[in-house]
Amino acid sequence: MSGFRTIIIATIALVGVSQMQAAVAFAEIDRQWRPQLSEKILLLPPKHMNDAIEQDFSKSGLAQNMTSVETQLFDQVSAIGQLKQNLSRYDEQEQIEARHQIIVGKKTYIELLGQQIDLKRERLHTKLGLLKRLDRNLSSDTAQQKVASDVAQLQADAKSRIEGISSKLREQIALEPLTKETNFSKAFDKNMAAISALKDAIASHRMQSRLGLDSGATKSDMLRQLMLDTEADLALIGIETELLGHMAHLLSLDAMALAEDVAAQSFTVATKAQTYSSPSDAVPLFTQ
Amino acid sequence: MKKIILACLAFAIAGGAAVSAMAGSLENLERERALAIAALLDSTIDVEARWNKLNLSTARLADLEVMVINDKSLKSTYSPRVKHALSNYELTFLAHASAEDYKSIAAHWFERIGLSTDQLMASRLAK
Repeated sequence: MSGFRTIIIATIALVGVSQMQAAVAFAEIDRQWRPQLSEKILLLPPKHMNDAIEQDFSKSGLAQNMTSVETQLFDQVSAIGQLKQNLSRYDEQEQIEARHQIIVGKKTYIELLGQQIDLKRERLHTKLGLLKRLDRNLSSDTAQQKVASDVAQLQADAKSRIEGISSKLREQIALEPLTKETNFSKAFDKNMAAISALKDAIASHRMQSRLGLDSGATKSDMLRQLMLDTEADLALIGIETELLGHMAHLLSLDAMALAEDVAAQSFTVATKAQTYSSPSDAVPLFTQ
Repeated sequence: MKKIILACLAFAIAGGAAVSAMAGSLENLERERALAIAALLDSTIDVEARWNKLNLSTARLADLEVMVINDKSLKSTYSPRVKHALSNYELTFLAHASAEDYKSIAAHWFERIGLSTDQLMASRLAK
């Protein structure tokens, strides 16, 4: 019976551990950036589009992860700085220990920086993916718009012709004794006047130029520019990785220098420990 | 049970009728234009009645034509019927096109479909 109880307890413990691992795994998954933005983002003014993407990122687990790593990096830098500042105050043995601590600190810093670069790369790849998806949707919309543009062009042509003759036709209709001006005609004139006034106000609004609206750049141009910027950031990440490699190289040289210093110190102790006599030292004993 | 089925059928038919009753601006224009042409060709009415009817139709057509050129929903339509209608400005926008030509709707329409006096005189009888 006690054996059965042991099996039950062991099973419960195993299930508990596996659930904990699952929770850890989920926590890892949650530390990703899954953009929640839809194609409606394309309706935003150009300058606000990038802001919206960055805002979406700032809410993600990846952003929290990056902020946490950044805090750790800052702490590490201040700890290394502190140790370096106090290095001259220590005696020889303590200096060796302090240099060892600095090297360990630098190693941790490089590891954290490498992690941060990976996270940065992940962020940029996700952003690039989002921008490409938006561009694909925009391209398909543009293709549909091209099909409809023939109809739109015909309608625009008809509109320009009708607008040119409209006032004359209405004069003719008004001259007829039995026909009077329709309600639609009156309301249409009133609304068109209001629309014209509003269009003038929109054109002269100061935010019109600030938001970059109607600046001639299409949405696809804007998306392409954002993609270009993201690609440039990714290229910078490559350079940062190279920089990190040089840092690691320098750190390994520092570690070798420390090891050599420690070894030299030990050799000095060893050489001081024992001196052996030579027959030449005893020659005076025989000659005098 | 039969009552429920009948009610459902009635509801579906009423819904379908409501949908089909929704006409676009171009359909309304075409309907009014058809009425105007019907009045033009109606041999049972006298000249004065025809004149009055065409005057009323001209006012309505003028409004409907303005509605069609300002209808943004047409831009997203890929229907060849819409494209055909907009391509034939002279026959679709009868009121405005006739005003452009300084002619009545009747004269403009007859001319455009090839029924002007000159064209009729130039035609020959054939078996």
